[in-house]
Parts: sequence; C-alpha cells; structure tokens
Amino acid sequence: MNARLVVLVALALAPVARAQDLTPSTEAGDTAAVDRDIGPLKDRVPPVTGYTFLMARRFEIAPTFSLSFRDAFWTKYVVGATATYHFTETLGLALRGGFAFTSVSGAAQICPAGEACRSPTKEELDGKGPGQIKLITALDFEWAPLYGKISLLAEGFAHFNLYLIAGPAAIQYKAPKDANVPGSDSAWAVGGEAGLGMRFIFNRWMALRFELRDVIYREKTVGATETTGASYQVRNQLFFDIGLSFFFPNSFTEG
Amino acid sequence: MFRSLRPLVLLLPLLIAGGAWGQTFQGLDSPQQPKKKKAAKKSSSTKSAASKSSTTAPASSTAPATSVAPASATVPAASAPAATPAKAQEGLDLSSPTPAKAKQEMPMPPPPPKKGTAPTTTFEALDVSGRTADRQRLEAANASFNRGENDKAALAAWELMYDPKMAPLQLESQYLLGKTLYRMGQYHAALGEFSQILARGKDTKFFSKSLEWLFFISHKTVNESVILDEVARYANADWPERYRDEFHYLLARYHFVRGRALDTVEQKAEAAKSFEEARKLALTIPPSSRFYAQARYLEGLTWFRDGKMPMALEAMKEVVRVTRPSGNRTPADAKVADATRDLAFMQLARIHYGARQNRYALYYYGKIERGKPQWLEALFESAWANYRIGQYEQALGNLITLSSPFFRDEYFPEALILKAVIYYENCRYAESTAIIREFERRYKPVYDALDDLTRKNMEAADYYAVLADIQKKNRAAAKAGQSPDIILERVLKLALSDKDLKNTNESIIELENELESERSHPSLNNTDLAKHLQDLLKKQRSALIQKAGLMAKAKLEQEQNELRTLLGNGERIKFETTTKEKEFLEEQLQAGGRRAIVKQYKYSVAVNDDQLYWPFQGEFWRDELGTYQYTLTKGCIERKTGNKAVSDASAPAAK
Repeated sequence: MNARLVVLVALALAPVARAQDLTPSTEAGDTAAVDRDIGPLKDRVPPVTGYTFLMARRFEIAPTFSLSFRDAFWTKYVVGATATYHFTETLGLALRGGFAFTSVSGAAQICPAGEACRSPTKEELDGKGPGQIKLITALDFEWAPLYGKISLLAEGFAHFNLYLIAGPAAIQYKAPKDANVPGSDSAWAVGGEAGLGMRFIFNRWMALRFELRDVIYREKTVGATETTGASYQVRNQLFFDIGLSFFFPNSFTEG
Repeated sequence: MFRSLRPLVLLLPLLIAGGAWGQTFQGLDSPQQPKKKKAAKKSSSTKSAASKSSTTAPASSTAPATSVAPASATVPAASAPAATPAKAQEGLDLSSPTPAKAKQEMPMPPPPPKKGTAPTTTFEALDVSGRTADRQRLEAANASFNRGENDKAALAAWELMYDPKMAPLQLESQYLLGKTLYRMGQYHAALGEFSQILARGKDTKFFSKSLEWLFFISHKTVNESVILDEVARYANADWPERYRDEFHYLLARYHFVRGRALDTVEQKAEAAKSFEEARKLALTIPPSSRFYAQARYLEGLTWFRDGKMPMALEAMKEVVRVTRPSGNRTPADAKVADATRDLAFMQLARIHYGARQNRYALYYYGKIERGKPQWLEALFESAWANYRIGQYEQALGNLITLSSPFFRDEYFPEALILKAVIYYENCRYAESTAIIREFERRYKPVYDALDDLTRKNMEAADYYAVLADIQKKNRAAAKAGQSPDIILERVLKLALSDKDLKNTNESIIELENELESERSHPSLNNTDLAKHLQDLLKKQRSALIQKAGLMAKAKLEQEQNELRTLLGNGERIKFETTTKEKEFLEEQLQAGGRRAIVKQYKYSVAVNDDQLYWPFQGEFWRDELGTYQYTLTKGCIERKTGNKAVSDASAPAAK
C-alpha cells in the first residue's frame, strides 16, 4: 500500500520537477514590449477643437415659418416658434408651437355635376377636405450627431449641424361636422412628429435652420355620424420649416 | 535657436523605429534636389494629398559641423548607474561602471518575527524516498507557481528563504519568489529579488537566468531604463546569446546617458570616453539584429555630439534605410522601427538646419507624418527653417497649429518669440508688441515660479516632491471638475518635457501603483512578505525620487535660464520695435504724414488641383492641422538691416 502511494506521489511530482527546468523565457510568458504610450497622437487629437459654435447648455429660440407640401386639399402656412434647450452638444429638448393659415391647395379639384372640374372655394372645402390644421404644438427630442462645414464652389464656406427630431404632437384642426351638416368644428388630435433638420451657423449665437417634418395624427373625416361614431384616418402632414435661431447665452466656452 | 532643439538633439528617445519605399536623401552629401515648398496662400489650411514640386536649393557637399549646437545634456542622471550609497547621496554616479564582484556573500536574513503576522501557508512534507523534506517543500511551492497560485507560491518561497533549516535552498527559493512576483505584476519587486541574486556573483546557480529575467522585466515596465543600472553592473558577465544584442544596445544606451550627464557637469573628457564606449557597443550589433537601427541611431547621436556631421548623417541615413516599412516585422518591431525612423528624420533635419541648409531641413521635417510623436516638434522647428528662408506665411501657419486648443499646453514658449520676430520683420509693430506682451503675460509668472523654486536651494528629492505635489493637486482639481493652476501646470509640463525625467516620473508612479496593488492580494496582507515587499519598493522609490529630484532640479534651472534668455529677447524685440516705430513716425512727419510703413501683399487663395482651400475661422479640424498657411497681407516697404539683427538674436540655435 505504502509503496503504491510512494509511486503515485513520485509520478505526481514528476511534472513539477520538469517544470523547474523551464527556461525563463517560457516562464515569463509574453514578453512583448507593453504599449508605453497612450496611443498615437493622431488618435488623441479630437476631430475638432476651438469650435466656432457649440450648443451644450444653451437655449435656442427660433421664430419659424413652415410650409406644408404634398397637400391634397389645404396648403398650410405656419407661423410659429421653437424653444430648445440643449443638454449636451448632441441632445436637446424642444417645445414648438405654430398657428397655421390655410388656403386651398392647387391640387384640390371639385367636379360638380354637369360642370367642368375646377378648384374649390374655401367655403366649399371647409369641413370636407381633411388637413385643415389650425394649431400645431409638439415636444421634440433632438439628436444632433453631425457637425461639419461645407465649401460651396470653393467660394462660400458654412458650418452646419444636422439633427433628427421626434416627439409627441397635439394638433388642432377643423373637423367635419356630423354627416350632412355643412361646415366644420375645431377638434384636437394627438399624434407625433419626426423630422430631419440642418442648422447653418452664422456666428456664435445665430443660425439659420431648415427642417423637414412629418406630423402624423388621426383626423376625423367626412362620413362620421353620431350613430355610427366618428370615422377617422391617419394623416401624414409634411412640412418644410425655415427658422432663424438665436442662442442664449450668446457665448460659450469649450469644455 | 529653439529651446527644444538643443536638448532634443541628444535627448531624443533612444528607442524605437518604419518609413517610405525607395527612400531618397536630401542635403549635405546628396546630389538630389529637395522638393519645392508650395507658395504661400491665404490664411487658410490646405488639405493635401499632394506632393510638392521641386526647388533648386543648393546641394552643398558637406555640413559645416561647427555650426550645429549639440544638444546639451540636460538630463543629469536619467539612467546613471546605481551608485554606491555615498554616491547615491550625490545623486550622480559618474564614475566608471563597476564590474560585478566575483562573489558577494549575501547575509542570511534573520527569521521573520512571528508576532502580529497573519498565518502563512505551509506545506506538509511528504515522505518521498529519494527527496528530502526541504526539497519537497520547495517543489510544492514550485507546483503552486506552475498552477498559477502565485500568492501561495510567493508565501511559500518567502517562508523557505527565511527558514534557517532551508539555507541550502535559499537561493532557489528567492529565484522562485522573483519569478512569482513577476507573474503577479510586481515587476519592481521582482527586479529587487533578481538584483539580490545577481549580487551574489557570476558563479551563483541562477545568475544567468536572473540576467534573462531582467530583460523580461524591462519589457513589462513603463521605462526600461530601470534595469540599465543592473545591466551596467554586470557588463562583463556572460550574457545569454539570444539577448546579447539587446544587452549591448542597453549598455550603449547606458554609456550614452552617462555621457550626457557628464557633459552637463562639464566633465567633457570623461563624457567623450562614455560616448566612445557607447559607439563601440553600438557597432557590435550586426545588421541582422532587431536592435541594429536603434544602435545606429545612437551611434549617429554620438557623432553629432562630437561634431562629426558626415558620420552622423551616414548613421542616420542608414537608420532610415533599414527601417523602411516591411511586412516581415512583428507589430511591436514595426512600431519601434517606425519611431526610430522618425527620430532619424528629425536628426537629419536638425543637422541640415545647423548647417544652414534650410530647404533640406524642411525636406526632412516634412517626412514626419501628421500625428506622429515627433510631429509637433517637427512643425515648430520647421517654422524656424521657414522663417530663415522668408516663408513667413508657412512659419506662422505652423504656429497656428501649435496654438490649437489641444496643443496649447505643450511647452513652446519660443513660438511666441518667433511670431513676434516675423511680425517685426514685416513692420507690423503693433502686433509684434502685442505678442511680446502676451509672451510676458504667459511666461513671466512661470519664470517667477521657477525662480522661487530654484532659489530655495532644496534637497534634490524635494524638487521632485514639489512636482509630485503639483501632479496630485492637478489630479484632485480634475476630479473635482476644476481647472488646474495654470502656472503650476506649466512648471510641471516644462519639467516633464525632459524625457528622462518624464520616464523616471512614470517609473515612480508605476512603483506607487505596485505598492498599492498589493492590496489586491488579500492573502499577503499583514504577512512578513508584504512588509518586505513594501520596504523593498519604498527603497526603490526613494532611489528613483532622488534621481528624479536631481533631474528636476537641473531641468528647472535650465528652463529658468532659457526663459530668462527668451524674456530678454522679448525685451530686445520690444525695444527695437519702439525704435522702428519712432523712425517711421519721424519719416511720416517729414513726408507730411503720407508715408506708409507697410505695403499690401498680393495673395491668392488658389490651390493645386489636389488641394482644397478652407479659410481658417478659428476652428481647428484634425485633418487640417499642420497644413495652415497664414496670410500676412502686409510687409515692409523698406526693409531695414536692423531687423535682421533682432531676428538672428532671437534664433539662438541658428548660431
């Protein structure tokens, strides 16, 4: 029994004994030089320094003018304003509101019986054509991932940033009255909007902004009756916005 | 000339090495013509992938070596040999390296006290025939090491070392402890153990293996110079064949650093011997070795120091040839080759600049790609070369890059002086004066702070303590989200612009981290081994602090002197500017107020087809850095000879 134990122990220890004969290079493992610097200088230099424009921790107030497009019945001219607080260089929260003036879209046609088709009058379309928006308010989250500059024919140079917005919206519009009742009533709808915008920067506190927005909401449509309940359809309302942004405070320091 | 040129020439990091295909050389001994720098453009950046057209700069045959000011050895004891205790007090050991003693008895340490210590791991002796119980204990410790149970192995080895019954196995136990500490990442502690083994002499069983471990440790520590002292001490030892080239290179570095230190203390003859020794050792490294390029670079530096420029040029060109990018290198080797190549280009540029062959200098400065470690220095130094040949727009453009927020804290005080001189040369006196004022506003407080520090006549170690204190304060301020003290920050940056001091500082930080990291080994807590390691590391730290203190003191004194010179130059420029303004005012009065001082330059924003023009609007884009050209727009109507005197005085390196 004892003899067997001794043999087993001896066998177990054999690799240990061999291990002691290993060369230092084997025991030291990977001896490649450690990276003694903190990376190439070119990778440590931020893409841009000495910014001529920064938004973080600043308010942006922008009077805006919006024009709807791809309208079947009503063209909207929205006069409004946007107030944004930029938490960081890329993230912000914007509150916007606008009052819309409407006119009959060029695409709208009415074809009375026995008459040639023509553009309807505002009264004729009131309550019948959807998209008669009066007010738009929205709370948008903004993400501005791109900052750059462009050269226009090597003559003009502009700094810009590009941003995406999305958020809930509340829309007041003129909804049709009950079936067979002419005219319209004001109604509110809750929806959302998403868009893409660009700011072209004039100086440290002013910028020109352009946006494309899609306001999506559910609108009451013609054919709604008291007995059967309202009939609704989801509308996509596209807007092109232009605004002049003013930033406060009007200076900043690079963090 | 440049503040940085002199120290840098010889203080260049002696490491490392990549390059271009089909390298051509320009300048002192080459018939080839350098490429022409492109014409000045608007204050703008030109992003270019473009090559530049050639120019007709004269290709003179040899370099007037005397015109080059060899870098003064400003780093006293970066890697001076480990001194005897008495010499350690002096900080510098400038004596010849002492060969290892044939045999050094190592006193058996007393057994560790038992009281108040945590229980240590023990191994039951096994009754194995043919093995003693002692041997079994050691083998059990080795088994733990092989299993990766490092804490256990270290404790066991330590116990064996201090067990009087185990005296015959003490050396083996210490060797095991050294290896285990290495595996635990306690490189400095491991170095301490291996040093003790080596100190026993060449006939010691583990002498040769311990030498090998030195190399492994040097590859892991932030600064390989920590082993230079040991390397020098055992210079006559029989180094393992496969590490012989590395050993010769390290020993050459040791002699080079020692030579610089001797130069600093004006022991020129001794310094020359050291440089000669460095050169001899460098030449023993064959071209097939991976250390060949670094060795040739070192050799080139020694020729440069001796003023033998053709030899220096040849050595640097050889470095460039052998470091051409090749797919056969490992990533680590490629990185070293690339860095060495850049250093060689810098040196080639400086040699030509010293010989007043500015266009060749620019050719070589241009070889440093954007973003490389040497790039900023290349930009700054090439600004001087551009200034010398009247390319003011490019010179100022380079300085724009240096003033970008990311590099604003880099220490280039002379950049403002150069800027002021260029404005002065172009009769833009108001700007010149404003720049000098800015220089004084920024650097006078730094000078005063340096003056305060150097006047205190502190012990060497205290100088390092001051720097360490600044670093701690800055780190605390950064944590608290506050800005660091600008003046102190500048003093620190200035001190750490000495590469040897920076390396030593990093080693001290590494040592401190090692001291801290022992907490991550709870099984070692409160053991005698932990206490021993703490003592060992603290001792090493004290020695490094002493060394760093000496370097810091020398560096601060040197920088104070240089700042004094620059401030003096600033005063002189101000004086000359005022004189010129007065002269022009008088001329204007005589001419009835119609005389103009400056004239409009004609400039164009046209660029080559492969370039883009972007106006500089105060914003620094990474891909534009280094491509700026300033639009000076105005120049003197009449160039006075007096201007030249000022500019020459402000460019000491151009001597």
